[in-house]
Amino acid sequence: MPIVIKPCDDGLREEYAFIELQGDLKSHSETAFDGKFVGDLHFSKSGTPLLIIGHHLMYGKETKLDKPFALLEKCQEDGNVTYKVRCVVKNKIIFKTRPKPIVGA
Amino acid sequence: MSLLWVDKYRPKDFASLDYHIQQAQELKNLVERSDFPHMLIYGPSGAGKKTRIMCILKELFGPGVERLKMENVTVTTPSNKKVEIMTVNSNYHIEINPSDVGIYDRVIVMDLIKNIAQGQHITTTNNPRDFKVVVLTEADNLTNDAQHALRRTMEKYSSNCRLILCATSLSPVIPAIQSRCLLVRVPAPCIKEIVNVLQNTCKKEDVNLPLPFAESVAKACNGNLRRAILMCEACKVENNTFQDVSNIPHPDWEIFIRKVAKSIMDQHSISNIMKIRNQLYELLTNGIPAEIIFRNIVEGLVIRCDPEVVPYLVREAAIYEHRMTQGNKHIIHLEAFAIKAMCLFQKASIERHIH
Amino acid sequence: MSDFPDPEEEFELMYGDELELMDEQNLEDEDIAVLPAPNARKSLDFNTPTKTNSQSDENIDHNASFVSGCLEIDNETVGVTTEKETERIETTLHTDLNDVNHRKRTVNELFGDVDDLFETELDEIYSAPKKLCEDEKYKKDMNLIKLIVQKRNDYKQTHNLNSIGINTNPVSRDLERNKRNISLEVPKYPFIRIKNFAKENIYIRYHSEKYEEDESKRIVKESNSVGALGDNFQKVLNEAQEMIYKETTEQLTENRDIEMVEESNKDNQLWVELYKPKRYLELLSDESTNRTILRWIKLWDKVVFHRNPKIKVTQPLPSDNKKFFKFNELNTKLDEHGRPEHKVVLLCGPPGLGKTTLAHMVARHAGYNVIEINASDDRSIDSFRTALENATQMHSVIDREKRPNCIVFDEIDGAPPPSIDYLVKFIQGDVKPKGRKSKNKENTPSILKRPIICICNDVYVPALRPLRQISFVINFPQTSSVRLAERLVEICRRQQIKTDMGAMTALAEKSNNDIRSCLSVLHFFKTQNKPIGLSDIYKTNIGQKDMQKGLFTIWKEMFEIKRMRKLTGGSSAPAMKERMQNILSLIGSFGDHERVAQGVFENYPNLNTNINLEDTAHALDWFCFNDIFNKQIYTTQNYTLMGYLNYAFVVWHFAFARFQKEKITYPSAGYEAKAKALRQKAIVAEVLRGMSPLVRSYNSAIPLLLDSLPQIIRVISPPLRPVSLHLYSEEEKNSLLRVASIMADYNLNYIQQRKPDGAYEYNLEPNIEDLVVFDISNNRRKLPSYSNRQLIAREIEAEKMRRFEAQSGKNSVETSKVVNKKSEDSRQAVDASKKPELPNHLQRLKSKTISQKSVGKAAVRKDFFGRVIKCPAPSPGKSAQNALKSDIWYQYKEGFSNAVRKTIKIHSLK
Repeated sequence: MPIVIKPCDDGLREEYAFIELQGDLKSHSETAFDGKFVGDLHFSKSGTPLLIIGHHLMYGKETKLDKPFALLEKCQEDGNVTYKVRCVVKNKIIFKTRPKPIVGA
Repeated sequence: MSLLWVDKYRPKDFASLDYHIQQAQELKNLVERSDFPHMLIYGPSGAGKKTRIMCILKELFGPGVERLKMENVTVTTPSNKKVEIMTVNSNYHIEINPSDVGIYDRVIVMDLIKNIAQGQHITTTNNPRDFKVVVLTEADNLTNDAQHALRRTMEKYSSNCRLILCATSLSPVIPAIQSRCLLVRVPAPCIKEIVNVLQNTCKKEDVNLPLPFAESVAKACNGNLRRAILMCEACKVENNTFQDVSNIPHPDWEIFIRKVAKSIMDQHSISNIMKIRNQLYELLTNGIPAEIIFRNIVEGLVIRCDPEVVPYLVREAAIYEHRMTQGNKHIIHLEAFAIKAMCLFQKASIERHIH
Repeated sequence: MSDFPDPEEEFELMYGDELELMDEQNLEDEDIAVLPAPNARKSLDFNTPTKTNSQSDENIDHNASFVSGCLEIDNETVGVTTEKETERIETTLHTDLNDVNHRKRTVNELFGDVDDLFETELDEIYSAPKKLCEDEKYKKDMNLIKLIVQKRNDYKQTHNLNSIGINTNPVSRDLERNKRNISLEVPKYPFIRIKNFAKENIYIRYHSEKYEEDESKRIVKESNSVGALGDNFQKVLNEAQEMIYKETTEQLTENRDIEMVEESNKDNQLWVELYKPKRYLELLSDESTNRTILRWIKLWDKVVFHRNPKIKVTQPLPSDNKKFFKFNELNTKLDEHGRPEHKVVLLCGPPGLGKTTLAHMVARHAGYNVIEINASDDRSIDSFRTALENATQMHSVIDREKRPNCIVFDEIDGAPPPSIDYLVKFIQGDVKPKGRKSKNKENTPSILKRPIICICNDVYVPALRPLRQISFVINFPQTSSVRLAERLVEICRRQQIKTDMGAMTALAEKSNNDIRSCLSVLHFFKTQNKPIGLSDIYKTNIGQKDMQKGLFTIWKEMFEIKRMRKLTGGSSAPAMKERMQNILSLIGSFGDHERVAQGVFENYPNLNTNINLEDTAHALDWFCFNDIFNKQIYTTQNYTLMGYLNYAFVVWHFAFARFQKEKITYPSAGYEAKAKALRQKAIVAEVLRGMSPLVRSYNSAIPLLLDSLPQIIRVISPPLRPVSLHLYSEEEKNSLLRVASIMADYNLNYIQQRKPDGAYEYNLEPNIEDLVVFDISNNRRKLPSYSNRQLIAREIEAEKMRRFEAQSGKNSVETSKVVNKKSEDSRQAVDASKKPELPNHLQRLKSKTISQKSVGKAAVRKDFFGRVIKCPAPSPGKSAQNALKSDIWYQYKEGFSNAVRKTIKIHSLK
C-alpha cells in the first residue's frame, strides 16, 4: 500500500527543531504527558540554548541533524491515509550535560 | 542629614564650592580624564579638604557615593592580636583612619587595601570606573612602618584601587609617598572668603548677619572655616543679636589657656606654679594637644608683656617646645617654660625698676 | 688720662687684626699687632712659600687652639707669608708680644663680644686704609664702651646670685669665646681651614703660644673654683699623685706576699658549698624557726606515712615567741583528709640566711625526697602543672628508699602571677585533672597529699597575695651576729687563717648577717694568706651590697639637709662635695629613678620654704633633661646612659633642700592624670563611634575636640521655655526638633541617672560637658534645665526611631530595586519582562487543569532570576504556578549517547 506524502498545502512553514535529552522525563502523578507544561527553553545572548525543567537547568547546543527529518501529519480521509509534511526538521538542540540544580528563592 | 549649619550647607559637588574655585575646576578636569592618580590633599584644619574629597568622589562615582554605612573591620596582626577599626564606606569607596589603632596601622593598611584591591571588580553601568577608592585620613599620623608598607601597596594594586590621602602637613609624609601622589594643597580661606561663606549661610537660614560681626568672626577663627560657621551658629542659638562684637563664643579651652597665660604674667612665684600645673594637667587630660597649648600660651604672653621681653620669651619658647617633642612627659616642659617665663618677667620688672 | 691707653694704642688694641690684613695689601711702617714667630709652629708641615699672599687671606701658622680629634687637617690651605714679613714680624715680636697679647685678652674679656661694634667700622677702615680715625670718634667709642662695661657688670652681679653654686657665666663666656675663634665662613682674623666629617669648612683662629699658656693657666684657675663637683683641681691632682706613689711602693711589698696558694680542698669547691650544713644540728638559723618548720612537716605524717603525728597539747605560747609568729600560729589541727590546716609554708627573709638550706634539711630529716623548683626553671603554668603532678602523684623510681616527695619552690616571688594562681588553686583542690574523660558523674579533683614549701625574699610582692592568704608565713629572722661570728671563726680555724672574734663580728655586721657573702669574703681573703684584722674588714670594699632604702627615706634625704655635729659644738651643713656624694650613692643603689623623680617633681612646689625662681628654672631644666634622656634610653635601648641621670638628683637636692623637715606625699598626680586622659579619650571615641555616617566622614578626633564639640554644646542648649511640648510655638518646636536631630547625628543623648542623694538628673551621654568645659567662672552658658533635658531626650529617642524605620524601609525597597537591577545584569536573555507580571511562558498554563498549588506567603517572592514575583496569595485563580513545582521532572542519564544507534520501528514503540 502506498503511503502518500503530500506537502503541506497551506504554505505555512513553521520551523521545528528537535530537543534531544539524555535522560527520561518522569511524572510525579501518573497522568499522561499530553499538553503538560514541561519546562522553559531560553536562549542566551551568545546563542546557547538553556532548558529549565522543574528545578533542573541545562545548557545545550544547537546542531544540525545529519539526516533531516520530516514532520508528517496524518490525515485520514475516508480510508485514504495521507501524510502531510508539516515541516522538515533540520536542526536539533541537544542537551548532553548534567543538569544544574536551581535553589528556590 | 545633620541640621548643623556646618553639615547642612556643606557643598556637595564642585559646582557649589565657594572658594578656591580654580582649584576645583582643575580637580574636576582631572576626574573627567580616565587616568585618575593617587592623591595627597593637605592643608590646615578647617580649610575644606574633606569636603573636596567628597566632591571628587561624587564626581567620580555619582550620587551613590553618598549612601554611607559604617562597618567594623577586624584584622589579625602577626602577633595574633585582633585589632578593630571603624570604617565608613559606600559601594565605591572606603574611608579609614589608620591612626585609630595606634601602632598596628601598618597591618590595617596592608590588609584592608589588599582586600579591596583583590576583589574582582565588574564594570557595570553604575560604576563606570574600574577602581575603588580608599580614603586615608590623618595620613601624617601614620607610623613610618605603615608609610613604607603603603608605598609598596600603592604601586602593586594601583589598577584596582586608588588612594586619596588627607593630611594637615606634608613633612611627616615620607618622600616616597609624596612622589607617588598628586599633591594638592588646600589653603585656608582668606577673611573675605570666610565672610562671604558666612553671609551666604546666614542668608539661606534667614538670619541677618551684619558685616562687622562677620569680619570679626572671620578674624577670630584663624582661617578655620568650620570654627567660623560653628561660632555663628552658636551665637544665633543663644539669641545673640550679632551686634556685640566682643561676645564671640570662643572655644572654652582657648579661653582657659589665655587665663593660664595671664596668671603666669601676673604672679611670679612658686605658689602659683602648683595652680598652673593643675590647670595644665586639666588641659592635657582633656586631650588638647601639647603643641597647641604651648602656642596659645606663648601668644597669650606675647600679647600682654613688654616688647623688650618678647624676643627672649620667644627664644625660650622655641627651645622648650623643641625639647618637648623630644620627651615623653609634656607637663614637665610646659611647667619649665612657665617658670622660665616668670623668671624673664621678674628680671624685666627688676630692670624696669632700676631705670 | 694716663690710665687709658693713648689713642694709638687703643686703636691697635681694637683693630689689630684688621690692620694685619690691611698690611698684607699695603705694607706700612706702622706697628702692627703681632704675628708670632715661625718657630711657634709645632707639628704642621709647611711648604716653602709657594704663593704670595697678595690674593689670599691666609696667614701663617700657629697651632689652632681648638682642634678637636675628629677633624682632618687640610694642609694645602695653609699658606706662608713672604720672608720680608716674617722678619718684620720677628722684630716686632718681642716688643709687642707681651703687651699686646696680654692686653688683647683683657680687652676681649672685659668687653665680651663686641665684634659687632667693629663690623660697621670695618668698611670705613678699608675705604680709608691709611688714615687713623679721628679723635672724636675715639671719644665716642670710649663712652660707648664705658656704658657697655657698666651694664655688663650690673648684669653679672644680678646673675651671679646663684645658690646652686654653679657659675653660669663660663658657659656664656665659652660661647662667646667660640664665636671669636671658630667660624664657618672665611673670617678676618688669621685662621686655618679644616674640614669636618660633614665635609664642611671650619675656620679656626690662630693664637700665639703665649696665648695658649695663658689660656691653660686660666682654665686651671677657673676650675679651681669649687663647685659642687668636688675639690679643687690642684688638690685632686695632688691626691692622685700621692695615691700613685703609694701604690707603686705597696705593690713591691705585696708582690712578695702572694705565693702559690695550696688548695687545701681537693676539688676546689666554693666555701659556701663546702661549709654547708649537712646535718640538722649544723643549721645556723634560729632554733625555734627550725623547730616550727619541722613540726609543721611532721603534721603531714598522717597522710603521707600513715602514722599518727605526735601532737602535743600546745599551751599558749609564751609572749616572747610571738614575735616570730606574728601573723599566724602553727595550727596543729588537721582537716578532714588528715592534712594540716596550712598546706603550704612560706619562708621569707633577706638573702643569705639559710632558708633554702633549712628547707632541704628539714624535709630530708623528716623523711622526704626534695624536689626543688627555683628561678632557673621554666615556671609557666604548664611546667608548674607538670611539676606538681609529678611530685605529688608519682614517686621517684631511682630512689631506692622510696621516699615520698616534698616540693620546694625557691624564689617564688619571681614567678609569674598566673603560675602562682594555679598553685593556689591546686593547693585548694579546685583544679580539674587534665585529660580524664570521666564517664562517671563524680569527678573528684585530686587533693594535695604532699607538703609544699615556698621560699621568697619579699613577702609583700603583689603576685604572692593569694598564696599568702592560704599559707603559713614564717618570717625568717636574721642570724644573730654572735652565732654567725662563732661559725666564721670555726671555719677560719679550719682553713688556717689567723683572725679574731672582733673581726668576724665586724664582717658579719658589714654584710648584714649574710653568711653567704661572709664566706665569699673569707674565701677571697684566703688567697692573700694574711691574718685578717679589724682594719682589713673596714678597709675592704668587697662584701658590701646595695642598701635598699625605702622611697620615703630617699625623698627625705633629697629635701633635707642633714645637720652635722661640729667638733666645737653646734651644727652645720656638710660640705657640698659630701652632700653630692651622699646623694649619688643613695640614688645609685636605689634603682627606681622614675618614681623618685616623680616624687621630687610633685612635691617641690609644696615646700614651705621660699625658693627663688632662678633655681627652680634651673632644676626644671634638669627635669626636662631627665625626660628627654629617658625617652632616648628607652627608644635606643642604650642603657649605658642611665648613669647620667643620677646627677639630676644632685641638682635637685641643691635646689630644694633645706634644713627643716618637709611633708612628702606619694606622687599620684601623674598616674591619675594618665588615667583621666584615657577616660576622656574614650569619650571622644564614643562620640565618633555612634555618629551617623554622613557626619562621620567629615569628622576626626582632634578637630572634633577642638572646634566642633565646644560649639555643639552651645548649639544644643537653646533657651527653651520649660513648659510642655504642645504649648510650644512653631518656631520653638522647630528648634527642639533641630536640637534633637543634631544630637542624634552626633551620638549624644540625655540619660537619666540617679545622683548619690537620690535625686534624678539627666546627664549628657557621652559626657562631653566633662570634656570641653573647663571651670570658667564667668560661665555664660545656660545649660538646659531638667525638664528641658527631658523634652530633648524624648525627642532624640523619637528621632532615632524615625530614622531607624526610614532606614529599614529604605532597605527593603532598596534591596528589591537592587535585586531587579541585578537580575537584569546577569540575565541578558530574551523575554526580560521588567515588570513583575506573569512571565510569558507560564501563560499557557491557564488553559489546562493543573493543580494549582497555592503560594504560601504573600511576601516578596522571586523567581529563579531574582525577579520579584508579585503573587497575591488570596486569589488562587490567578496564581501563577511556580515553575519549580511542576509535575514533570527530568531524570538525567549518565553516559555517552554517541555510540549506540538502534533502528526502531514505529510500531514497536506503541
